[in-house]
Amino acid sequence: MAGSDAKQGETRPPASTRSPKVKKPSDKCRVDIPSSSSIWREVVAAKSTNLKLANASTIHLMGKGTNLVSDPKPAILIPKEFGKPNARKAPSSWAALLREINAPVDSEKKICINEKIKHIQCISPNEKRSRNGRRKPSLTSSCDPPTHTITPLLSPPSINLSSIMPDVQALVTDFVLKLRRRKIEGSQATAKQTAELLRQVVSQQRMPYTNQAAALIDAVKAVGEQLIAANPIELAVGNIVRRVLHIIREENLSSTTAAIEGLGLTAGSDDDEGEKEDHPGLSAAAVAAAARSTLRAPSLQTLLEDIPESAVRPPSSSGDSEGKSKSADKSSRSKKLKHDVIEAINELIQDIDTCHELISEQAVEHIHQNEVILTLGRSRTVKEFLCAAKEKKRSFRVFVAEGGPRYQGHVLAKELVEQGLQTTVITDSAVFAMISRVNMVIVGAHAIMANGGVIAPVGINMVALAAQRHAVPFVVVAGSHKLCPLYPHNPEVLLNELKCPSDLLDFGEFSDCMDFDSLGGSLLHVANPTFDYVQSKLVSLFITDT
Amino acid sequence: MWARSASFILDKRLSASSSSPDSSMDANPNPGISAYYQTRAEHHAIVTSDWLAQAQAAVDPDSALQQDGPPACSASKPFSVIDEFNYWRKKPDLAEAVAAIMALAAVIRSSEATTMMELEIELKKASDTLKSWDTSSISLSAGCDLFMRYVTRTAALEYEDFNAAKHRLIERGEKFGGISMKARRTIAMLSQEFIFDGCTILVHGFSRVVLEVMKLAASNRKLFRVFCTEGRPDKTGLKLSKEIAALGVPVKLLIDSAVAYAMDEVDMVFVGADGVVESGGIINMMGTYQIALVAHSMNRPVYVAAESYKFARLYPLDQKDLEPALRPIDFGVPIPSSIEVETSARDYTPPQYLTLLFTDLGVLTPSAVSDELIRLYL
Repeated sequence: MAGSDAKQGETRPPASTRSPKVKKPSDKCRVDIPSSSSIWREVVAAKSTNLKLANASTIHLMGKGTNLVSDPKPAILIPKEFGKPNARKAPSSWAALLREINAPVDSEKKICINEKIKHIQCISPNEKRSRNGRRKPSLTSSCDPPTHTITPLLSPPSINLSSIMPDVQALVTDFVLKLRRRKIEGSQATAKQTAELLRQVVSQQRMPYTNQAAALIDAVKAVGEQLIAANPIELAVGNIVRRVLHIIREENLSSTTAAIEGLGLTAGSDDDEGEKEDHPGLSAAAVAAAARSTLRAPSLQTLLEDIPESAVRPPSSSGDSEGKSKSADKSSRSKKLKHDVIEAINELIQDIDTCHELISEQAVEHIHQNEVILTLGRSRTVKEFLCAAKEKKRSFRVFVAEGGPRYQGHVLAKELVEQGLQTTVITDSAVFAMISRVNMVIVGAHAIMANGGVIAPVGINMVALAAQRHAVPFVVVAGSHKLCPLYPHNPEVLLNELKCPSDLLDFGEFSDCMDFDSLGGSLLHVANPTFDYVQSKLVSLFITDT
Repeated sequence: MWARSASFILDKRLSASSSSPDSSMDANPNPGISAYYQTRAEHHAIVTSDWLAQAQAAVDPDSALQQDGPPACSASKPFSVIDEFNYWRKKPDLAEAVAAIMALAAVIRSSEATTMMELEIELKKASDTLKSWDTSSISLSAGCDLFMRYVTRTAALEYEDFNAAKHRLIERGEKFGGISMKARRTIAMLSQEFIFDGCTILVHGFSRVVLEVMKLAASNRKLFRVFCTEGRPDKTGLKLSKEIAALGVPVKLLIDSAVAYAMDEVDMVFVGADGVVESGGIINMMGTYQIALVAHSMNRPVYVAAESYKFARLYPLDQKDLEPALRPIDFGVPIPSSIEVETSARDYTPPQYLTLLFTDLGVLTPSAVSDELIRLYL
């Protein structure tokens, strides 16, 4: 390769500081890189065309086992686990990951395999039917081998690294760090900040003349993957990313159907016959309908349909054909798309903010006079739900289970008393004893999965089982940003985290038990899981804001 | 005392009036045996992986034209949709509904209608003929209905030219074979994450979709083993176990009665479906209901792999609510004629015993099936 000498010169100084297991970049050029390492070709290409790889993005590029963080230069180090061809891992688990983001192969992900495989198992293409008509991933396009992203060395590759604007990258890195360190509490806050970040990404994205939606989608996907990788337990992040992608596609579609209808009128007068031959008698209405069906989920209606190639071309090449006729319109159209998308994201943010109000409006229908409600821990949604019912002059009583180990139930009890509600605080262990005196259980959730299962704070599975045993209705309230289209595989392990054991045991008291025994491990272990998985058959009712 | 349900009386009445009112020459030659299960038996008798591969190549429309094409191409013989259908359904790799839609596409091709309405009327007549020829096959009638809806909807879109519309309908009908194969692949992909390393899968009945799922899992180097029920009287289990063993997956054969015995070692049950009904339940080979009951009582998930064109607008309330589909059982020893034999080839599994359905429309819970049907038909 022409640029290899320059590369060797650049990267030789850090070679001495590297661990001996890591190959030198110069070796890379001679190694026959298997097809799954197309990222290396692109990175090499990027270097040869002098694109600056910001340090932050290379950090995310590598998995464990690299010491890039300390290296100030944008050198490329191969992680230790590289070297064996990864083709064996290619099809299944990456297929699931691909479907999640609905992208052709994302080369970044291939590198960080080992730690990510565990998280990949919990992701599935199962999409829940949502009334919002959220986009379902296209199952047919995702499993192709990674030939899409191998770009010729000459042109600047349209990979994710370059599609993120550098000034936005700083914001993204910031947010990623916050997510990774679990600094953001609560799914609503996370969802709102994710939406705001994506709005920034969209507004600062420089748009090419043609195929603007694809550029936006690429940028959002790139950012989205980083965010999801930072905190895979926080499913609201992924939900918001998917909704923004859906917004982009919808806005693009609505603007191009308008353009197609405009085109259809001028097609007769257009001297360029190339497109006309490919539409054998299809009217503009048919083409628009076909284009619209690409966005809809696959259904029995669309089973027999096949969108003809030519119908797909006009939306993407509308830039070209318009360029022939109206070139002044182009810039205004690009601005319009961005503007529409940003408006829609603003609406989304507003929806996230007002989810509690919409849910609380329904409180009166569910809570009747002189009822006894049971809840566990503290959920903002539940609190506002109960307060709304109280304001509408319902008189009822609330049992609050304290919700160890953080005992947020105490805080909730205080807040409810301030509203004038008769409250009783009980321990988690007393739930089964008291459940027979309860009319209804209302709890909040962390996430609602595609099969109806609920990821909820620890202890709620116990309450659900007790409620089922005594035939008490179990109601879950959650905002729509918590509805996740994924299917939970092994959720107790994969969608769960162990928090700090100091919540349970103080450091001083048990330190002698924590000592190592003769075999080398300590005898006392402390498990402090964050979440519980409640099966869908235990839940009687979901209340959301849609 | 055993004449409990009204449908029993209905059965008696039907069998009493043995002379079938269908006197046209297109009648099913042997009403004692369901034509659908007859064809399936023929498929099972000869199906091996090599044959499947060959048949798949044969399904390819380009090669199909080179071979001796379907009958009724010549103008001398009057066109018979039944013959057409029979030609297609003999191919072992082709699903029933695909054969039906190919037959209907051929009807369009040979029709001399000049307007869409006329074409629709012809198609309706052909579809009714097909359905009445074999009343027991659910995917046949579902496929016919699906194609009819598609034709009606396409007619609604403005096509400038009738011939262009006709051409498009024929093309889509013939492509349906490809769609069906794609559907199987989609279903196989969807079910991959549900098969984890070290799991034990119980399968029942020879479903080509389930075989595809196993094939993909095996090629993805998943470590799992399969328990295969014997599947009397069709011996489907024996065929299926041979196929799966050829993939390198450890297989264990169980007799049908040993399912409950083995159920605690099993992690999940995988079955195909002859038809998916509106309630979300499935109609499948005899024995599926039993297995689903056992699995449900032991808290094991039951997964169904079915293509979406098998969704039918039926709502059976009990086992006898279906059209009877009979298969003669050969016990190996002569049975005195005074002993009645239950020869039904299939049963209905209610939706509460099923966990998930893998279809090419996605992974659905049984309650989502009726949503899909409503979207198509209303």
